Amino acid sequence: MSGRREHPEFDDELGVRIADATEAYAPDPDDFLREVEQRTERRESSRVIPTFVRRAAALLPPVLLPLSLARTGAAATATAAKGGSWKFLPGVLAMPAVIAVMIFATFFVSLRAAVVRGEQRDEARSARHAVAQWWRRNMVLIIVVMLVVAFTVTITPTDGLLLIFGISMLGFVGIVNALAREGFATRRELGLRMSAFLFFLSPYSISAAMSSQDWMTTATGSGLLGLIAVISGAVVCSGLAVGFRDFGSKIRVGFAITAVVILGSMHTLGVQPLSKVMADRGYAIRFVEEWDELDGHARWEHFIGMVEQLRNDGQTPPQLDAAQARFHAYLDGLYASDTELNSLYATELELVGFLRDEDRQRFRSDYWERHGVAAETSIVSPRHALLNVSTHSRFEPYDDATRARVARRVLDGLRHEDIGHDPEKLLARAALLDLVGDADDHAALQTFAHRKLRELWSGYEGADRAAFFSSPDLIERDAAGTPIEQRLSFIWLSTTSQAVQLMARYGVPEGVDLHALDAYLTDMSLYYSYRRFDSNAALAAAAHSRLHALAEWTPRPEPNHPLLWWIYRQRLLIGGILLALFCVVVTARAPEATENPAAGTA
Amino acid sequence: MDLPRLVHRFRGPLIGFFAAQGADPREARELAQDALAEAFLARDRFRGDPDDLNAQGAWLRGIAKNLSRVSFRDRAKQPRELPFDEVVDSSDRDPAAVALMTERRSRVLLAIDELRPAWRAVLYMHYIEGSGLAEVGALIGLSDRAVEGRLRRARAELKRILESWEVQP
Repeated sequence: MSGRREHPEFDDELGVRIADATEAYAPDPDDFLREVEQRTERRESSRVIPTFVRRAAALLPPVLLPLSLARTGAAATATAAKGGSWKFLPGVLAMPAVIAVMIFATFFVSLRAAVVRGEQRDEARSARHAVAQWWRRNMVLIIVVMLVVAFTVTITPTDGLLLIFGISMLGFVGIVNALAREGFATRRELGLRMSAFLFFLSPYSISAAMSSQDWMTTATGSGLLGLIAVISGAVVCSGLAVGFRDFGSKIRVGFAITAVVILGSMHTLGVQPLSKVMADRGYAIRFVEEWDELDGHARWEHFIGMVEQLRNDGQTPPQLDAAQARFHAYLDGLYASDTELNSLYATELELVGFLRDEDRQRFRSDYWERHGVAAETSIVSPRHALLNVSTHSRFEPYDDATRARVARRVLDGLRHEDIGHDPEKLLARAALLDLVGDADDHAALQTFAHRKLRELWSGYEGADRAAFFSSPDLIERDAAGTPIEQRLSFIWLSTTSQAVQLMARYGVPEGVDLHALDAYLTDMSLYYSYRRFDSNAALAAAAHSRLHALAEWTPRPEPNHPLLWWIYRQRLLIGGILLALFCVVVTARAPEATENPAAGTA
Repeated sequence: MDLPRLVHRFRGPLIGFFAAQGADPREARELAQDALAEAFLARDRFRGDPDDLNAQGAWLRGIAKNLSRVSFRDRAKQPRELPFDEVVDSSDRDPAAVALMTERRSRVLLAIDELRPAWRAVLYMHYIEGSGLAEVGALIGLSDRAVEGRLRRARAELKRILESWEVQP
């Protein structure tokens, strides 16, 4: 015991027992000092790790770092704590990716701790404990980073997020790389963590691929190719980690074959059937001629829309005899089973002339004939009125006074703004006026239709793509009321297709950019190749064809895109490949064994 | 910053600091060496008086805490390996005596493990090398008197635990 003790009462029998029990911890003073000096000399001469890298390492979660790296970061946190706080920035930049990975890592280690038994149990519980500690320790920073990410997402939903995560991922790998190059981790340690990092990121790659709007315009499915690149990187990192180079040739060949089989299966099962192909007019023609899933009443609207577009686009119309026969057989089946068909669906069939006279007799409305014809009220439900007027006038043609009265009621209905005048209802009113109105009536409806179409148009100055919405209230606008970038999807396809029909009839209103509309319909024409019939894609293809037949259509000049534009379009693929390559290079360059005594103890 | 002096002052308290958290002897020494080397390498950023014991202690405390944070991440709730292999060479001793000695040391260490962490720490930090209360206090941010009080309470509790075990059948 040292002679430095200034409190003799602590050297009693108990003190002696304590000192004796802890004696194993006492070092030889000279050896200890020599060890410290060797450590300082070694680190000063061979390792000049930038402060910002060490500070960044201090923020990284222990499960993602070899113990030696974590120790370096931990020590640096304290020694670098005074001044230069900006040097924490690289670590903070890496946080979004780290948080994303840690969400999965937390789930994984929790699951592992719950299921493993035996010797691994303590290790699994320790990992869970370490992960929980990391969340607690960095809670404030995590909340701040997430708020920043959320704020960015509100400004630029997809690209902002991708940019943040891209920088973040490269930042993380860069930090680990910088530390590894200083000999703080073995290739095995790094490879296993890089592999886990890439595997944990793969769900986000899928999410990014599927949420990207450009994904829809990329028939090759480059987002999923990026995912495959990420997983390939993980596989290679695993191989490097487990000493791929040291294995015998048989094992190496086996490993390579297994990797190829796994990735090939993914490509075959995941990319090829999931890749999207472009539906064209021929696809839409096939749809209307062969589609037989008539129980899906909701798709009738698409079917009717396609027929209307394909009949009027100036090209060879579809042959619909077989389709018509299928519908008739379907209706006969309904009659035989005494099942009623919603009159709105009957209206769809009437619009394309698929109803036979016996069908019309069934759908004639006694109420309309008793009260509707003579009514003076405005028509607020034009699609119901259309079926009634069409079936009634076919058997009992109206006189001129009745026709004029019904036409007036059709136009009076336009005054009711609260009922919502979407293109579908306007088309029904146009069809009604075909039956009972004259050119003046159509002119009045044309003026109204143009105003409505302008209100429903989501485009703005410089918009790449735009669609017609079913209500102006659904269009996002800035403070001045100008539409801003919208998230466009198939939801607006029916309305847009009907708007194209309306424009074919009444002309294109001022302010509607047909090229932006063309781009939206092109996006919507993509469908997964494993699907025989995709009604959205077929409808988009038909509307596309009709759009190109409009008198106002002028072909879009072939754009001369700069290289950056192509890079931007393939950013998911490029990002995935770069990240995977970066991880592989970092792993490959790490030493197989480290000379640093503090390293390799994970 | 004078490295030998820094090592001389804080070697024992630092080893005790890590030992109290479950490090085995070799690991506790290595961690203490890491902490001292790191403190010395980062001396340019040390803003305190190089001769001020408390400033040096605070400087080392930050490093030690962070090192322990990552070093013991895999050790949550694992039982301590009792460190007798290094000091008990059983080849030239009476096996019965060795067993008795091991038994006595085990009891003490297990009893220390029963103490609350703050008390356990001061016991290790003080008794491993008989380090001064000032050095111990500088490392954990307490005054000499506070360390002394904590030591007294730790010893009293340790004694009570050992006695309770000794009366058990």
